[in-house]
Amino acid sequence: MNKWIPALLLCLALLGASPPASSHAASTSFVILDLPGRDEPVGVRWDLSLHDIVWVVFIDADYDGNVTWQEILDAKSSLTSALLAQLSVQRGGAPCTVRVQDFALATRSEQNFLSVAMQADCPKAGLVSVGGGLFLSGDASQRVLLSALRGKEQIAGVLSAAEPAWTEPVQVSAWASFARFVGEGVWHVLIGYDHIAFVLLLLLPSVMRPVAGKWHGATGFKQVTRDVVTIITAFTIAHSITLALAVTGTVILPIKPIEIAIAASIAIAGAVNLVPRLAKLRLPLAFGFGFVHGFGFANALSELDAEGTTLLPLLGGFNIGVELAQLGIVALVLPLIYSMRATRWYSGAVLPLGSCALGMAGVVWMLQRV
Amino acid sequence: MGGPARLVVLLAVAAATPVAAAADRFVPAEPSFVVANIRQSQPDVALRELLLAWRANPDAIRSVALANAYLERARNLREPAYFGRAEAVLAPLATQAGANASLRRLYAEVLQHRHAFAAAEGLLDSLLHDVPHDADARLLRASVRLVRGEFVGARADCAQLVGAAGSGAILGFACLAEALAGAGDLDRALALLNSGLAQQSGADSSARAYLLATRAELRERSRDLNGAILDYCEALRLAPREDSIRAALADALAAKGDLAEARELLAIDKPSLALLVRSAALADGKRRAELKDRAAAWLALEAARGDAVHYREEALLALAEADPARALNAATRNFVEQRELPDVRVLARAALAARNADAQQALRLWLEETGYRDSVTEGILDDGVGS
Repeated sequence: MNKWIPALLLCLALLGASPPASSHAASTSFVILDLPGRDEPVGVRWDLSLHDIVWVVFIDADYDGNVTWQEILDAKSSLTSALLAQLSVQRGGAPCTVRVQDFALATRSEQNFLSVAMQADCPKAGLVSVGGGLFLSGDASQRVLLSALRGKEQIAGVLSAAEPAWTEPVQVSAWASFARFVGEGVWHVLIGYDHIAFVLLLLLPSVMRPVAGKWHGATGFKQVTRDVVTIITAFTIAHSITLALAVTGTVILPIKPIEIAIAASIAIAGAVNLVPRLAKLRLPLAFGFGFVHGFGFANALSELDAEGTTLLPLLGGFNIGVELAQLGIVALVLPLIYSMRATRWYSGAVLPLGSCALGMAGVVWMLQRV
Repeated sequence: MGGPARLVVLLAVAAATPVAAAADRFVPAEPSFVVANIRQSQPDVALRELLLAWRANPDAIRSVALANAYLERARNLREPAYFGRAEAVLAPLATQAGANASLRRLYAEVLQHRHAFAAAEGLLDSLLHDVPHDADARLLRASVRLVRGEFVGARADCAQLVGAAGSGAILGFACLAEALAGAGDLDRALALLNSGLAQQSGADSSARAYLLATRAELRERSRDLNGAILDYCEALRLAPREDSIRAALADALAAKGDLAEARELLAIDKPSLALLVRSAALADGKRRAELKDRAAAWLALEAARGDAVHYREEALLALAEADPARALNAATRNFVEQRELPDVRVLARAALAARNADAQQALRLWLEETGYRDSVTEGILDDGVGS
């Protein structure tokens, strides 16, 4: 608001700009729900400012302007009636019977709020709804902040005169979330050309062995498979760590440098493949660049609508999906290149030219992303 | 949404939940324990009559009368519930096609109070299109435009007010000075205010406080800190309940190094968030931690309620907590809607603290485009002084 005009308007009675900043927040009450299994009662706690209640219930028996704890206890019966009249709880569309259990106080925003513990016995199972008058008294700025605990899941809601009811959101099962994010992980790798390029660059030399500065076909499929599994596992461990760190907000990095670093990882992996003497670097490179790719996966994951999903199935599902896709690529490509490893065509064309082409693509992406 | 933003949003929803959940329950040991003071100064008979009349017939005339009464009490008593009541009375009618000018103007005031500046300006645009001579609406639009840094538009509105008769002319003077200063013409703005103060020596104390506070700000921007402090002091003496003047004076005293005086000035009962955040920044040790916690809880409650968050105060708090990234984020979001002196300065400080050259350059560009001048901001951007 314009800072000075309010002072003037107070006296001029000209309708103009805004008033001085208020010394406290607008009216807010707090409803805390404990949502148990289908046959158990719903726990309800309602914390209210007495300023909201005294519009409806007479409490200050001695008219001195101060409401004491004794006056609240004396007015318990009329308070209970008013509270039950102002709050409705339903489950599965059927009204629940609400009972007041006890009165206490809670300090919020440096005020003492009346804190009422209640229990709602519901005849049906299903989703819980909360509504009623809620002591909303013609003030558009009044809010009821709702917090519900469903198992380990915390759900928040806001009720107001404009939206005076809240219904528990449909629970997304952990297995359904897990399955969905496995699919998302697979899909992300399949459409993410840069991750496919990096995995291919890890695979191409895996069927070869450096001997006297030249590539020679490896012997033994078992040994080759072990080599590939080691490298892919190192890559996986690294990107799982950074994915978890990014998703939980523990580490937040800007997208642009990450995208550039991913492109650079492809360019470097391509270059390493061209020099057989650098073959020892493949494992540390896979591990090191895995950290970078993890942030890239987190970026992709952030684009998805994850509402109603808890962290574990989301992270676990996405990671496993990424691994399945990577293993799928390995399963498709490895037998093919293993069968070609001993040919001059593979060591002279597929490996160097393929690495070169993918590496150059990495350079181009890097330049595009700068 | 970029980065791990959505996931962070998910976590933020979870983080908002404790706003409702966290508060220990207790039962007082003494029955005489005073839970709350609910005393009203006097039964408000006039308001009750207006309310009964409105309930009997909630037409435009009665709605305007009742909303006017609520807004008057909201300003005088600093009680936000009255703004909410005014909004509840006005909203159903003011948003209808063909709503009368008074309804729309009052509703625009409520919107401005909620920091819905764009909506308020849009409503006033349409109102002034229909009723161009509504001086009150023009003043309100001028103030909204000044807040948003639309100095050219504000200047046009203010110039029209200067020609108005009576008290509107005083407002026009100060408003025009603010608009001129916004576009960088500090000397002309100061001359205008000096002339206004000389002509209005017998003016209402609040009118004089407004002119003095405006001049103080211009002096501050022109490196005349001592002159600014004198004007702020006089303005606060005339309007002692005006928190914005108190906050500005505290900032000026702190800038001068008079920290003890600034602390004392801010130590009032039931401070607004603006004062609370400044107190936290100036306090030490345990007191500092306690004040910061109170300010943070206030901001968290606003966010959980879905109110317009006071990003300026959030940025100030983050700077006090040495969290430059959060400060810059809040200051940048604040600057989208609010571009008054404290908004400009907090953005400059946050950009410097975060060592964000892009943000500093963007602010420099805005200063160049508007012509806005402030010696402190220029010092921060050019020499890294003032963080």
